[in-house]
Amino acid sequence: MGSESDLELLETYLDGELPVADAEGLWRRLAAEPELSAQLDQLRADRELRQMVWRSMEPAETSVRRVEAGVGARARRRDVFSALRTAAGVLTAAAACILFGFAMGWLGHENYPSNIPQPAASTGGGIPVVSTADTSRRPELRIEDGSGNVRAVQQFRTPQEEQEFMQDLSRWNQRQSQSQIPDNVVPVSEDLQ
Amino acid sequence: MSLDEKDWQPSTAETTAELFEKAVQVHSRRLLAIARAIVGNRASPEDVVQQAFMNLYQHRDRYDWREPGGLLRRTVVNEALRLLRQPRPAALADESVGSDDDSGAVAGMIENETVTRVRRAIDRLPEHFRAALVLCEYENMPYAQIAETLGASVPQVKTWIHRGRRQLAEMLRPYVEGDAVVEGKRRAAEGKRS
Repeated sequence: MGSESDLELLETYLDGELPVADAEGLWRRLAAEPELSAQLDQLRADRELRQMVWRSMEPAETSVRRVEAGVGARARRRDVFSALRTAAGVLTAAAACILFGFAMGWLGHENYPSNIPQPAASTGGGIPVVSTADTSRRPELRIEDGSGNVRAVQQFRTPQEEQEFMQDLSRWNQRQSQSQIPDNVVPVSEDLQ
Repeated sequence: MSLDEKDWQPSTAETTAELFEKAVQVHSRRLLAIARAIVGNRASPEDVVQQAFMNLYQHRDRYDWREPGGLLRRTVVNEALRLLRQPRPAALADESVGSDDDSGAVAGMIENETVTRVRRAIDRLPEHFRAALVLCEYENMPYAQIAETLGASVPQVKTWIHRGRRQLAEMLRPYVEGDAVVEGKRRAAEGKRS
């Protein structure tokens, strides 16, 4: 058995990794040293044996087909799972948006005022009375005299109170008309603010 | 049907999925051999190769599947080494040597016995020695490419290959010397008869 460095040199040469200049030097030595040449032959034989071993590790056709089928099946499963996950993500995001919008609408509808004016109501004397159903402010009626001067402003806590007052006033006006009392109070309430 | 690497010419019109499928068909055989050489009977080479392919499939759009050989070898080697680092399961049943059409002849049996002996010796080498050896001698890869595949330096790869071969020679020396003694006795017996 030669030296370790000779063995490594010969193996590097057999691996095809020896630089050209070093290979030329090795050829000269092989021509001059029969023991080195015999060592190279032994290393070649060992390499041939190992090549047989590597080739013996090549799989049977059934094994190759199993791998191909297995990879194909797992790839298809992964694609299906990925598509489902994407769809689930989209649906979740859409549901979250809808829920958020619904929540905002539910929380906001109690706070937003409705400035839709109520239709005119008759007080029985044929005089229209208009009031604003402004939920952010108390409903109120302005009572004016015949010259347009505001005689009083009546505020109510709720639109129902205002409605009851209007009804009472209407009945009162009717009674006044029937008893011919000249000073009918004609409320003209229009709080347009 | 498996394709040979030399028969496969990827076209530019093929999609990534088609190129991936062709790569599986073309490279599986050699990758299974590499995996078998590295994991020995400690794991299933089929599991190693399948998992390596799936690792790449997860991010398939990142890679060039027209020339996947180096990428596949690197992935299979890494997966094989990763598997060996896990807590070691019970060794798998030793595969019988020989192809599907083993003739059973005496010479074949002797050869199979020799190959089995060498395979068992290779299985006893450290994992990086095995990996470097199989890439050098089976895949005929240059040292620099082996170093890149194994994440090591070229001098380190040369050391692994050299020490792997020396250890194999030491493990097989009793068999070699024994065979030489048997051969010597046989020749001596033939000489006496003549």
